Amino acid sequence: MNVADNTRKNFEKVWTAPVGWGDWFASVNNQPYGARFMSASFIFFSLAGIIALIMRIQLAVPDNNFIGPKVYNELFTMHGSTMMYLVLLPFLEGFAIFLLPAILGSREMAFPRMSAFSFWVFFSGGLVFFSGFLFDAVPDAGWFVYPPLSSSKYSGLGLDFLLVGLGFIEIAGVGAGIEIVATILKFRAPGMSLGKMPLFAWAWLVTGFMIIFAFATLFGATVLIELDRAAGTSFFDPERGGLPLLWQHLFWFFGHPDVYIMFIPATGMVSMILPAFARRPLAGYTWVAGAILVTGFMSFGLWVHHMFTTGMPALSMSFFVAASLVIVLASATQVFAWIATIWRRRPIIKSPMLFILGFLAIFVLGGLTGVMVAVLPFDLQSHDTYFVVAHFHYVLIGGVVFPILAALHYWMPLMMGKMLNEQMAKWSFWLIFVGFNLAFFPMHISGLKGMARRVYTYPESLGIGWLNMLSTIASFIVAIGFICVAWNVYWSWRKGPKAPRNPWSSGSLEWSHDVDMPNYVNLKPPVIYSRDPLWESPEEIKRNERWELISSELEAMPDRFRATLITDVVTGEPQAVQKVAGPSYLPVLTALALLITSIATLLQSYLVAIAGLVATIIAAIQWLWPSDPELEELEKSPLVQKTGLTVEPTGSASSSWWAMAGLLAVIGTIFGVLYYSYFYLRLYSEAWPQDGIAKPDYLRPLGFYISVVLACILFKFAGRAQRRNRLNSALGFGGASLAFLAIGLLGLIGMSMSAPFSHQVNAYGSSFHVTLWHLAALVFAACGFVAVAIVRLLKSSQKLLRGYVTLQMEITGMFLSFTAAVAILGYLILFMSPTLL
Amino acid sequence: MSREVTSFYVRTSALDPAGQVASSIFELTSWMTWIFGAVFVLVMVLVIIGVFGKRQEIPPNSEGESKFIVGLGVIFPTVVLTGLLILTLSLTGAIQPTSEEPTIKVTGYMWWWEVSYPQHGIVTANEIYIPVGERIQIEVASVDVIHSLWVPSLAGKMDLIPGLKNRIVFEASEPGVYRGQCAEFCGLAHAQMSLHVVALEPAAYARWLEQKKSAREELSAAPPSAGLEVFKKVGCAECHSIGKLPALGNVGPDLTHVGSRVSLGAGTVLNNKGNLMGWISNPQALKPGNKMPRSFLSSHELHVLSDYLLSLK
Amino acid sequence: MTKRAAMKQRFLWFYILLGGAVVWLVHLMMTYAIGEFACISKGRWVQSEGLSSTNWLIYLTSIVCLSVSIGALWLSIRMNKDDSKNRFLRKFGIFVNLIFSIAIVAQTVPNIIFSGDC
Repeated sequence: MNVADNTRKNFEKVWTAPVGWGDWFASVNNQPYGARFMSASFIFFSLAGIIALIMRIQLAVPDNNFIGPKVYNELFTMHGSTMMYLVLLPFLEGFAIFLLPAILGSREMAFPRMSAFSFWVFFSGGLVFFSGFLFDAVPDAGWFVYPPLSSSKYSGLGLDFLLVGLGFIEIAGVGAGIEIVATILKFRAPGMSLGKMPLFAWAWLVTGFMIIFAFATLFGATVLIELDRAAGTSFFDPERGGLPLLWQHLFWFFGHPDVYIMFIPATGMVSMILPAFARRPLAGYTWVAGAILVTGFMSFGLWVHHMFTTGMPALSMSFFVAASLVIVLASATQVFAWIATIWRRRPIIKSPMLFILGFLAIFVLGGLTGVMVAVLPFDLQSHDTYFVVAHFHYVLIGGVVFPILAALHYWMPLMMGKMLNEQMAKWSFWLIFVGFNLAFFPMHISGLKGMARRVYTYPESLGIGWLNMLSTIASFIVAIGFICVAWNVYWSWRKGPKAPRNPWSSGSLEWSHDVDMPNYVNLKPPVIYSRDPLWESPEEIKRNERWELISSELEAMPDRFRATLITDVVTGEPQAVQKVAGPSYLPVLTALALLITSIATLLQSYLVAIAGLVATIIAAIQWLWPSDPELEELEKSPLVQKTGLTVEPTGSASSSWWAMAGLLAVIGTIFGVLYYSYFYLRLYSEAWPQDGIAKPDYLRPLGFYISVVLACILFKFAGRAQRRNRLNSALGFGGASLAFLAIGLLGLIGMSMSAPFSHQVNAYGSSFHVTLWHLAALVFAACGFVAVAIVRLLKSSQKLLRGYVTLQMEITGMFLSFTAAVAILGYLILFMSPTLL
Repeated sequence: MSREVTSFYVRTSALDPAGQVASSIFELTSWMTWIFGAVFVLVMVLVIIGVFGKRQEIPPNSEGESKFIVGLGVIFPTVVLTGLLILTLSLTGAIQPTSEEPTIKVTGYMWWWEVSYPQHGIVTANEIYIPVGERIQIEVASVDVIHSLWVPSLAGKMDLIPGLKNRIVFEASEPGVYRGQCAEFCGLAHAQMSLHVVALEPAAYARWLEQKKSAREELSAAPPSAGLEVFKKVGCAECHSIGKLPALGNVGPDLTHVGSRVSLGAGTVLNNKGNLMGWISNPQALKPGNKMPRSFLSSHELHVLSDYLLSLK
Repeated sequence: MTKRAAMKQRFLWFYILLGGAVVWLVHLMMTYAIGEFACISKGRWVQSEGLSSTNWLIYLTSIVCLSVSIGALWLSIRMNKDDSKNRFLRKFGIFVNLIFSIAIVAQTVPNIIFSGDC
């Protein structure tokens, strides 16, 4: 056995997943986790689909009393919440986690343990959602949970199940979002610049950022509404100066982008699949990429169009009418780019292409009715009617589910090694397409004829009985279509023929693999010279010597731990070899501890809850505890010697830097929610502070905020000492920084405890106290980061100049600077603004 | 079996407008339907040509392709939508309520509507009487959760939000009865929270106002009756007011004019003696979830009470 | 390439990629906030007498934001067409910044129609 064979063997060994139970719970490879996301959300999809059929039976005839209003309200709440939170996005994330390493020419996702953790947390959230059925506490206030209906006065325990489940899903969402963004920005093949990146990755890059901001907003808002329910705060209670409308602003600031969070990845898939069947590159690649960016940004500026009937000033609403119309340009550009692609060369019609054509028809219609509901006067009629139900099912089923089905048929050979049965696929397409249109088109009419949303029944005098009967019958046709798809997947998986390599003759990178991709996906990183690498003609390529060298040196290397190449964010120039995490039980254990904590809290067994919380914290500490990265040996290897790549990237070259940036974006958004709420509540108040509370004294707390800022400055000195290899002085500055943070933390807690009014007195009191609590939690987390950095310094006292020590100091410094900035802003808002503004 | 009021023609649809606001929105709707219908057909024709059309195979990334995408994807929608934006905003301005004193106040309760005429001291429920041909300013509010007032044939909808006072304009162009419905999900009996708007000729409207005013005054002067005794004895008065006899808690509608109403239970059933007796004995059977409990009256008491209530015009 | 030139290059990239987008978001948030403050706080924070000062404030915001996004558009048009490295960024910048400029103009239209009216 020669050296190369040995290396290859070691390499395969480090990438192999553990066997037995370990495979299920400790493995962190992206492919099984992608498949798990998809399978779990398929289970939830089936449940929500059955719920939908029961609702359709109830609505089949006027004045029906099949399930009655109580059950109906529970079912539509569960149907909406499940489809929005547990089905579409997780399924798409499953695709992304499964395919991104292959599409980007990498070996793994950036933070494999994070994908495992995200999955287990998401799955737990789904279990919490549905466990309401066990305790007869099913949420029944709609997926939008508008207060006051969702307050503890009008809704019971069921809503807590929904909100806690939601908390889990939000954590899973931002986790996956950060991971996907970091993967796409850093884990690309050499030469894959932004201009050569596949549109699947473009779509997910934009979506990942959107998930971070949208789900962080929802997380912040969920905390506020749960505090209103459980701790008696008054953000949304009109009787104590709160505002129900505040929730609607926060919810739709998440809710509108959420629709595009599902739609954009779907368009990314269409832009990958369509060219394969048109046998030519996508027309207008650059414009499609631009349209994705425009859509992503603009989706954050449309939230008010869900609130046109709330009596907001016409001037404020009109800005959002304008924005809602302009976003059409981006969608239209994409649609005409797809049409241009098939215009010049007749496409081959296979099942994925059929679903794409179905998508075009349904989505264009749904998009046009979307323009209609953005027209304010029309929305006054159609809002909260079945017209809107028809519109968003056209957009979500036509615009998201059809591309998902296309993608399922298209990528199944790569994901499962089997082709789906073409005949069965065509049957399922026609059943779903015809059934869908028969079920949902009539709803446009029944809505305008007076059928409001979320009614368990309607009077015969509306004259919409036959339209509803048609919808009900057709909904069963759709259900049969989906059963065909499921049966096709199952049958092909067990008995289907093995798929050939690149069965559709596609041009994109992921098809360069055999149908059963190994765990490490790429033995060596592919070098990218064009957008469709499998269609390029080799003689036209001008080869890049350095990239080719790096690629061949990385063949089956490193062989002691899992690692992959990372490249520049913009140009795709190779930068470093990045170690990625291997198997671990910590993700699943942390998620489990979190689940136990929440369920115990819901059922009010507080001892178990505290035990769970302690377990969560221990698991998290264990997870973040600095370990020795064993990188020294690699530095002497020919890989590093020949290519000049570092194995310990620092700063923005490292993926950890991007993870920290993502985390800060999440926390910053949560504070954005708090600060926005503060000013929004003030805007509607006759006096501020409310109810004659005295304006806060702005001099007394100043010292504590200054000590947080000092801690940040001191830590900068600690970082400088570390880079100059001065251990004692680094430890001294670090320790001092920790001490000042502790002073700040105590001060923040003291400010809340010594305030002459409680968090329950009115909206001002709630806003004041809850902001202080959040700041205290942030400073506490900063203490944690500084403590971890000090442990790192102590453990690496002999190797202070190593890259990973520098990186640890850098990201801790980032967190501290951010903490100081947020704290200063908090001080200005809480203590200065009542006096100054 | 239909439980809804069907004994006279009720207009229920946004496609059957009977007022200036609803008509202008309907006109906009028709225009948009035609234009967007044409756009849809155009796009589908392009797709069909793409799939089935015969053509020469031209290399990709040609100049024409760019013109096609930008022309149809950016320039064409910009032209259409600029017109639509200006049209939308001017119509929005035209249907805005003014800030003058409201004629009528509508307050949402779980799951019924209180309707009051502050200038006339009239309080009633689940029915809004308006004169034909006048822009009526209506102020809406809520005491519990968010509701939304939607009368499709007359106007769009406006949310009733606790803590806020919103405005909506009703203008009926012809006399008639118009159905309305709560459009914002508000809990258990949301589906059965409907109402009726009755538009009368101005003279008839003036007579209606007079009748309601004098009925309230006569009621407080009237001698005690057997029906009123039952009303007090069995506990109706805990939730419902009649005339000057105030309720203990404001849970159910004011019954001063209950005999003249078209429906019972916020549009749930037609108001007649049979339905009223049924409603009093077991309201949960007709409108599940509403806040009125079952009552266990003797058949005699039930008759006396119903006759009394129906006499309250 | 010197470090300074590299920094300049990076800045140019991000300005063209995200300049229009960021400034559009700023424009929407600013105009929304000005409108809300003028109409709801009834002159407590922003003068709303006939809304004239509010209208001017919104026009000013539009002009500032539009010039930034047009700037990004102009820079991308001016990029060297023949350099293959720039081709993607140039086309991308033109498209994205054009649409955001259109959006800023469209969001100024309400200000013309609703002058002096909440």
